[in-house]
Amino acid sequence: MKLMECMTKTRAATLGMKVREAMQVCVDYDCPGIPFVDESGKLIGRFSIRHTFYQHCIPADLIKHAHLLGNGIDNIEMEDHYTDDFMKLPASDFMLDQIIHLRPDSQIVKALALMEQFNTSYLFVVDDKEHYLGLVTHQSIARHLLEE
Amino acid sequence: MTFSSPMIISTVILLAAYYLIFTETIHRTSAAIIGAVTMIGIGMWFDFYSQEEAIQAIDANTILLLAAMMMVVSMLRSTGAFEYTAIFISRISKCQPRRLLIYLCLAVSLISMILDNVTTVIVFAPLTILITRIMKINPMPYLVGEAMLSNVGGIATLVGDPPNIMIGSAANIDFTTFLVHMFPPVAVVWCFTIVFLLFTFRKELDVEITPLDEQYLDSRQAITDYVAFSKMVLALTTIIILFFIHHHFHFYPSYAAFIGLALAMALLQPKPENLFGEVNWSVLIFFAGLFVIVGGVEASGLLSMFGDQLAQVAKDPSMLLMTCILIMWVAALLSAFVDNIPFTVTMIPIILGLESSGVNVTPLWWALALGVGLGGNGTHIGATANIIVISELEKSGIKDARISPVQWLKKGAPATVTGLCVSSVLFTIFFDFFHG
Repeated sequence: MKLMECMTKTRAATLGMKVREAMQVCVDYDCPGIPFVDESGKLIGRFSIRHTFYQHCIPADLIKHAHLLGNGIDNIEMEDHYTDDFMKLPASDFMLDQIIHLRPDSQIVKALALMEQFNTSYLFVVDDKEHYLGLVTHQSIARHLLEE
Repeated sequence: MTFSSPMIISTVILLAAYYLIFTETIHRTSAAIIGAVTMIGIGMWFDFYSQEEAIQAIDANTILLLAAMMMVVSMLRSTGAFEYTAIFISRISKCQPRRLLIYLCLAVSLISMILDNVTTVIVFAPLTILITRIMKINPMPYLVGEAMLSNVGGIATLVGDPPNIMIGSAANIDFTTFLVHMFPPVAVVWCFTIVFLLFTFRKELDVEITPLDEQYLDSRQAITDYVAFSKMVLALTTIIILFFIHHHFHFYPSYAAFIGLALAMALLQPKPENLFGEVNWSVLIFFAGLFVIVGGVEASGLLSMFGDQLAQVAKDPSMLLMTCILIMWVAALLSAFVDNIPFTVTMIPIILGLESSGVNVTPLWWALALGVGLGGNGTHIGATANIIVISELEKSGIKDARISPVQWLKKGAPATVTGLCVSSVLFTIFFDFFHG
């Protein structure tokens, strides 16, 4: 099975895009992240919802001791974190350099192996000039298998 | 005083290695390895240092004791014991900001007396931030206090701080003797430091606290495995008991620690590869490298020459006290700005040289331990615990929680000077006690 068979075409993030827009794209296409592309459409990075939350919304002390938090906890507020201020920040502030990408004719098994190796749930499909074509997620692979 | 070629060459290598370490041009462990390899090579070439002497210069007791305690701490940490302790302390402080500061600092100090204070602060700092976040108070006074008083607490015991381990090992001082001589001055310095902290952070501590209910922070979730926790308490208790009696059985402190480690491994059966992964090999290799470098300088005869010169002064009983005070203050001053380990490793053979000249060096060891320990509080880079605390406060994202290097200096320098003044006065009044 080739990747092109289970690839989803999504919009990409561009420099100048705000966090709100990038998140909206992720929500619209039901994917955990989208690529950052330059003016020519070449892949330059990625925007990840998980990484953005991790970097901006969850303090390190909370992550380390998440198991200790009681069920009734209601007095830790994410001041400024979920407000317009955060959403208005440039999405490129949260751009990740590590990009995992494959060609459309790559095998799905290779995509699955790479996703495991890099502990991610998605990767990008690019052409020979590294222009973005679409993305592949665990869900899109599963959907393709179910349809077959 | 005439300097031979080996003395000059070995000093150049030592200074070059220390330059790399202190300026952080390259990682300190890399600098120590490069320095050690160079010292052995040049030493063999100029016939003043051999491979055998280099191996003998490495204090195996220090390295093995640190390795064993790192593994024990790792196993204890995974049980959640530290988390439980911190939450328990926060509860019993009953929403009193000052009481919370005293209790947390006391706990960190006591733990640092037996376990590595860096690990103690690594565990306590983020948890303290979470606790203060829930209580809606500024975590800065608490974390600064924890760092400073973990440094102070570590001075009290043979195993509390790496310089103490090195001093104890070189001078053949047992755990009990170390505790008997160091605990009283450390206890007094501790009280002065906590009073100073309560005063200097009076504005930050004059606030209302949100109660830390079980619904907010669930202490029952802290202990991940009660059986493992009980077994680790047994192993740690064994180690502490053995530390107190190791000299009666002619056990090295490292062997006492390994008995406890062996017991813990037998009871918990952890995967050795995971356990060894928790050992900070970089620190251990750094120490070994320093031992080899200083061993080369010692073999050149330079350090014994310094010792002979110093012996002329220290032989006079009235000057011995002055020498002690001088060593304490110089050690503190240097330790406030640079790593205290290289200074300690260099001073040990000099003091041992004094001993062979007929000087009673016992008080010099105590002065050195107090100096290198107290100096760490002076600046933000004086101790690893300080750096951890600053990093955690920055990561917290809490308004007003950050502490700048200048702010630390304003809090740390007076605390250090106070501690040194108190120690100097105690040293002078009870000199016979430290002399004995």
